[in-house]
Amino acid sequence: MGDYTIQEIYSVVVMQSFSGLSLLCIFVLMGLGLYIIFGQMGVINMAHAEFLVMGSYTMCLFSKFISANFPWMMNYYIILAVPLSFAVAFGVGYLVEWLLISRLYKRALDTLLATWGLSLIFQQCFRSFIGAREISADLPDWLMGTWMPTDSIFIPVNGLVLLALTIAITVGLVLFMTKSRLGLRMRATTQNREMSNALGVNTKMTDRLTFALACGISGIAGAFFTTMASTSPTAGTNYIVDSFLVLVLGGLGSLLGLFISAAFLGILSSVLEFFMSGSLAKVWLYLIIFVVLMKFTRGLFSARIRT
Amino acid sequence: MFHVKNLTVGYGESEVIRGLELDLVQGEILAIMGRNGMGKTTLFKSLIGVLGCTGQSSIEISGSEVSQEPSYKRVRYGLAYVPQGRMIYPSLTVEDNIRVGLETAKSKKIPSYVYELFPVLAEMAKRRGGNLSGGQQQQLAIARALVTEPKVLLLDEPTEGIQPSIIKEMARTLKKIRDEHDISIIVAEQVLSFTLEACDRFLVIENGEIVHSSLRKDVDAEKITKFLSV
Ligand SMILES: Nc1ncnc2c1ncn2[C@@H]1O[C@H](COP(=O)(O)OP(=O)(O)OP(=O)(O)O)[C@@H](O)[C@H]1O
Ligand SMILES: [Mg+2]
Repeated sequence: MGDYTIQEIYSVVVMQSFSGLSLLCIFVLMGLGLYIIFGQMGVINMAHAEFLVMGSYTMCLFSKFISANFPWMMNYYIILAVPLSFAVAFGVGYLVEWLLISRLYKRALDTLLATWGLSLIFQQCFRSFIGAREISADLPDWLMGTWMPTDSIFIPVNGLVLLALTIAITVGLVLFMTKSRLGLRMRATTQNREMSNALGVNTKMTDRLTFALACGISGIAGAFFTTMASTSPTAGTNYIVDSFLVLVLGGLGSLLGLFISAAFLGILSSVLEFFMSGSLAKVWLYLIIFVVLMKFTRGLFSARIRT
Repeated sequence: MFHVKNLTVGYGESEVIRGLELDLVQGEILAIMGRNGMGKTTLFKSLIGVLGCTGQSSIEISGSEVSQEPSYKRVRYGLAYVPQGRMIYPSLTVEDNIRVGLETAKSKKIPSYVYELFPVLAEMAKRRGGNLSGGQQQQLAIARALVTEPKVLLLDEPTEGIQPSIIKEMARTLKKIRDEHDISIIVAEQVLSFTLEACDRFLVIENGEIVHSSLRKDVDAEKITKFLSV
């Protein structure tokens, strides 16, 4: 580990934990979407990361548009860009469910293949229409600054904002699911589709909105992804595997599990990456997860639902 | 007001309901009796639209043809369904179970008549549906169907697994619902004592066809009992 003092290691762990926390937020936002889609419709959406990229591109292009046309808005445009990224991913998700997924229900393997194909189509579209080169957003200075609680610890502001946003979205989603009419429709449809239909619920529309909502959340993750890295057509592929891992590790069925396993994965990978090369860190990370999953075959927090 | 003509339903190749005809009089409680496997559930599922029927079939409610509509639209036309086995949502609370039925209603507040009709549901409002007893679940399933404000209520074997003293209560409740809400009810049953208590007209179904029909005033209980025993 080289010659670090205890104090230095402490600072490194705090800072890496924090950068892990940003990663955690992306995982949580991605995982939430995957979790909703899988829970509601039994569909594994292999194209989910492309909705993140869609959000990133929306953010990048919108920021360029603002800095070219309305430079006085540079400090605040994010307030518009996040909903816009959500709207774009939501809209495309809506169309995808309508044109593709709704025709493949109850055919799990076919949806797996179809959404994988879709992810390739999206990647090619990004390449053809936006360009193969990496692009990044023009970000306001305040967002890219750092906050220094002590003189050896630097916390990036974008990470703080992302954390706040992730918590807000998660809380909002829980409230939405438990308090709103559409949330009730979603819960009822998940539990018994036929019965819900026979009680007057338009279950097809419910599925469509659910899918679109999950994609929209992924779009928000994408908007914030631009504050951490640049965007390229295949930027999402790095995240889809880890997002699924978070889901599996969390035990497919509890929000708390999702959070804790995202924290586990995000922080562990950041800390490991500081002390060794990226690929070696990944090897260690997967080894650790492998061992954990051997011990807890159904994930750390598998849901116990009675039927 | 509710007419079924030439209804034909099957699973794959095998036809279970063959050319069934049914006319419901406004405000009556109709019993459809039959042994296990004679097609009662299949009939109800096709009426509400969980199962599809052939193109020649006709299901008409208040002048609208609904045989090719999805279930949720049939609910809007005034059909409501309490399935065999109740099918309440186990992990939703009692309140939320009822609220799902309010999809078509203008007000999303649970109407007070529900708790007057089924006081036990008020006590259990915050419990999960899966933690209710069979009888309570049955009441919940009826409440949930009732709040959709139906014209025709379909009840599939409501007495199944319910103790005799409560069965009497159930017959009273059905008549009360009919009187207070001015709706018609179709009950699929095997328990004759219950239908004699609650119903105005009796049909017997065998292998997907109606083989006997009688009104309450000239009902031949012995004959129906024969149909019901193997
Ligand atoms: N999903 C299915 N696939 C194939 N055949 C079925 C299916 N469901 C029911 N059947 C058949 O249809 C016939 C009628 O069944 P149905 O459930 O309608 O009878 P039922 O009168 O409701 O009986 P019970 O009193 O036991 O509820 C039976 O012969 C049954 O085997
Ligand atoms: Mg049955």
